[in-house]
Amino acid sequence: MISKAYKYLLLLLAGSFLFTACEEEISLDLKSDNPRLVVDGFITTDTMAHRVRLTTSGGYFDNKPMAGVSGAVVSLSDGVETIILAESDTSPGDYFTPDDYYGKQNHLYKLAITNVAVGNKGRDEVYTAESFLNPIVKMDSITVDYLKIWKMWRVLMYGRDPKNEKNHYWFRLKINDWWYSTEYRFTSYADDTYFDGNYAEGVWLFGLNAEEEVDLKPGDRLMMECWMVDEPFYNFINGAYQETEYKSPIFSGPPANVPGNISNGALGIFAACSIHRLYTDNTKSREDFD
Amino acid sequence: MRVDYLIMLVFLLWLPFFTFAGELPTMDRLPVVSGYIRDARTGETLIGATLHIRDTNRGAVSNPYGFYSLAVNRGEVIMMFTFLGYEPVEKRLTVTSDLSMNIELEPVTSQISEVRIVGNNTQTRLDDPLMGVQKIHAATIKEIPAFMGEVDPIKVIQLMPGVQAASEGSSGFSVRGGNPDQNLVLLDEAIVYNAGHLMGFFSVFNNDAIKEVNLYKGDIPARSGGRLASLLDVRMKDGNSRKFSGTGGIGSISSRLTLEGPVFSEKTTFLASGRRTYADLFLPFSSDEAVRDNKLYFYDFNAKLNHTFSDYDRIFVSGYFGRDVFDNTYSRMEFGNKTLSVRWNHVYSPRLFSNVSFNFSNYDYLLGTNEEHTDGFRWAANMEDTGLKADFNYYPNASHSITFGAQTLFHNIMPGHVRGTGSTSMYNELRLPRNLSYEHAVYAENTQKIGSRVSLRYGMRFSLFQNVGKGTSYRFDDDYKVTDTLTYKKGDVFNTYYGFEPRAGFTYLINQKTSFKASYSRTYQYMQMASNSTGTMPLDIWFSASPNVKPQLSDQVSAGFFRHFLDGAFDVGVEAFYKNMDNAVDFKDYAELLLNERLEGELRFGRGYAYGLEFLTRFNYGRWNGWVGYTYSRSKRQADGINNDNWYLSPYDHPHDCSIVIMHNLSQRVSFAANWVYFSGSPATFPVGRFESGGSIIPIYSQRNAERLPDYHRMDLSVTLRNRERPERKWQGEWVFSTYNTYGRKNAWVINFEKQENEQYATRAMKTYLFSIVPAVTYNFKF
Repeated sequence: MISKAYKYLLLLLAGSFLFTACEEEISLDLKSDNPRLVVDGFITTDTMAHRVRLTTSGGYFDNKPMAGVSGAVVSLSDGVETIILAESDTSPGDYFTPDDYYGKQNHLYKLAITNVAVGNKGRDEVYTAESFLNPIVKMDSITVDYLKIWKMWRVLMYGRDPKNEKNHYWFRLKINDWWYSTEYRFTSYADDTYFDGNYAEGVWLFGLNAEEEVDLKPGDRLMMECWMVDEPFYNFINGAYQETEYKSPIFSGPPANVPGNISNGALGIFAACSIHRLYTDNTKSREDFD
Repeated sequence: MRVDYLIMLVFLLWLPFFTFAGELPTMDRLPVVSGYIRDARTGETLIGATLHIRDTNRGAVSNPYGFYSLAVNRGEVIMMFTFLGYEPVEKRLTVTSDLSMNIELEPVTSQISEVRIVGNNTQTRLDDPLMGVQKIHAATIKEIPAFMGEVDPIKVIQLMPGVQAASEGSSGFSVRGGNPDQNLVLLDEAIVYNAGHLMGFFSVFNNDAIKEVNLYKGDIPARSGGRLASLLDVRMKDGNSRKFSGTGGIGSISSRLTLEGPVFSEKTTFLASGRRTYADLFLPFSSDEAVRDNKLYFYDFNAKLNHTFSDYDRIFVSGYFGRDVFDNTYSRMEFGNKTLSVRWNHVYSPRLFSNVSFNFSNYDYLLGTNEEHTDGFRWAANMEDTGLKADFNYYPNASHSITFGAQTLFHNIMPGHVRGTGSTSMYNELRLPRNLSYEHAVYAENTQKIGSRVSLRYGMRFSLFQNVGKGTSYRFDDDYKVTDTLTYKKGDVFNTYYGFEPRAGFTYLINQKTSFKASYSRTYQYMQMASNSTGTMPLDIWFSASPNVKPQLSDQVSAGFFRHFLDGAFDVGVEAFYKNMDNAVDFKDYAELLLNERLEGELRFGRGYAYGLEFLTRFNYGRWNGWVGYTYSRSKRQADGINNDNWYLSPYDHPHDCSIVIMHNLSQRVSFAANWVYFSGSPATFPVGRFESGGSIIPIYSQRNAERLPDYHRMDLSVTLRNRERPERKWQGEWVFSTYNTYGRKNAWVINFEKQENEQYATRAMKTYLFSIVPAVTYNFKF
């Protein structure tokens, strides 16, 4: 993906050609597959109780939270020591590290899950995953501005990508106490294919529609998390993004299963990532850009 | 490289002299009647007009330049010349030696025939050993209700059995389950790589500049090749040689004007045709300010000049230039085609006709941001073909008609060049290496009559493909990771493929009204489009065969019965086909096809097959004409690493497909037309489950294309009201009122699965439909 700008360009193009298009709900009977184990686990450089959540997959129109998978043995290794994660008493299927645990940069983390029975697979099955915790690449700062023509607040980032190493970035946004990035499609991601070694002077990472999403006011505090992720997680983010955003016969390829990194047919992702955070305080309102 | 060209040129020009240096004297063979068949009003040559010697089974057909040649017995003969939509002409001749005779046919107009059956005058030639050919004249195309009033040959082709739009409203089309990039689209013999304007909703072909369109559905004559599924041969008008005239129109979204006429004398004619849309006039009505800010239009221009030196030599120069522009405060995008054809027709003898042509085509796009911003960029790509070919028609006697020739094409693709704009840009410059290749071919094909009932066509095409430097290729391991990078010097031929492509046809005339036909054809395809969406988009680029990409190969067999009823007023055909494809190209999941140096690592190779049964009845009865088509067909594929290596449906698999087209002349001044289209919904991949991750509900899929969108159908109507024609009035006008999708069916363009707003765990299926009823008004004129 070259840039947010390119994506918006295509979106506008589609909007102009297809301005007569309409959407309506359609009732469909979908087939169902066997339930499978789903892993959603992250280890980051933050010091905290990190969570690995185990659930099962369900029917697409099962409009309820997926049940947690209890009683599993979840072990985590950073190459030096191996710990067993403790299942929460209050939230079945959530397995936690101790509160003082943090991920170390340049370590390979390995996850192993046993003693779960999901679908047609029994308790003797072993599910494993591994993820390399890439070091932090510190960016300088973020700013916000407002694009009047598209009624859009933009979050812009400044910082340098280190040369001659492949970096995968993932960005999440929080406004005051409210997380904007509650799903993959509300996050931003990029690898450095097109800007390896360069300084990004205000690269556009988030576009917030002032009328439909959020209108910033003076005094709003924006916090952006900058995650360094490994390639499998990057590919997972890309897949999750594409499978949950709008698809069209002109711009989209065929739907595909989001590629995870859990062995033995389980779904989901286990990722070890480094995080640092950038802040900015908004000082303007929309009217200031008239 | 240039040396190659010179050698080829010299070879092509001298070929006939080597072959036919010793033409036999007239005394030892039958005399030959030859010449051109033309429209009496405009002087346009007529392609595929038939001539027939009464009380014999001897006959011939005019070639793509209107030339015919037929050996006849000495003495008195009666020759019948016929062409659909024209009054037949009968010539009584006493032939003693070779005779050059140009024929002019008068078009049938409403004044001449109030109610009549035009006999012996049909679309399908029962004795022609070629199958799956659909021929449509520009005049017919104009009568059919058009989307937004824009008369479009490709949209009409899509109403033929075995042909479908790649997606609703698209000018990309699928022939017999094939991909849109498996169609060879030629405009006056130059290749058109992206035949769509405005995201494909309109084709690049301006009907006012077009003479006729022929579609060959897989059974492609040996003179053409390079694509698996079809040849769409679009021929521009030559220009009226009798008088200066014009046609034009003002429509809901575009205006157009075509001027044509003789230059100084009948020997030189010109045609110039232009079109410009004002679709962006509608954008201000959008509720979205960002859309209102956009500019969006296309224009195109066709021009042709031809000069007749004598009955033996004629030169044509024709070209096309078209451009789409999309512009707003933030960004700009442009794309378009250019073609140029320079052709020389030469009649060496009454029995040997030649056409030598130089063809050039170019497709390019560029997009970028207007702002000088850190993520401002400018991105361009283009592909260019330069070709030379020589085609010969040789008519040794009344039973044989031989075509042979040689062609060479040089492909020059610049897959992408992107760079940051402005001084603060964060982007590195990325220039993908050019992809250079040659595609050569030689061919010969004979159409032979045996007795009064059997006709055969047998031919061979030999194609040769070469990748040449300067270039780069990669070696990939089993996981498609690059293991080695190879670079080649300028002019190095670093990879060669070749293939023999037999083509054959057989016809048995069961009686004067019925025939049985069968055919076989093999075709290779060396160029393909990097697109994994079903519709086509302007940014799609083409890539060639290479050390990693083997040429695609197709074998097709077909057989069918054809019958004329009521003196040819009804023309009925049933055709079955089976097509096998090897080295078919597909793409891995989430393939990165744009600006990717290692594009070939995103490809997956496999095979496919398609079969079907096509019924077509064309009628031309009194004031009624049109056709009814129905197709049952299937198309499946398999590729490594896709769909767990299992077979899956082609996105263009539509088992049932029906089109009905009816045109009726109510009176001289009023006519109406209707068409109704129905086909099984496109294959689609729907989720079979969900899982939760990072707050998202992510769909799980099982089999690719295992489900279908709802069935598609729609009806279009049009009414044409003409001025009363008066001899003293030069200007003739007509109003066309039309509706697309008259009963407002909300045909699914795509179905998306999404999370409901403000509901964390609820999902739903949403259907997008593009059009409800689309009315249009067009005023057309001619003078």
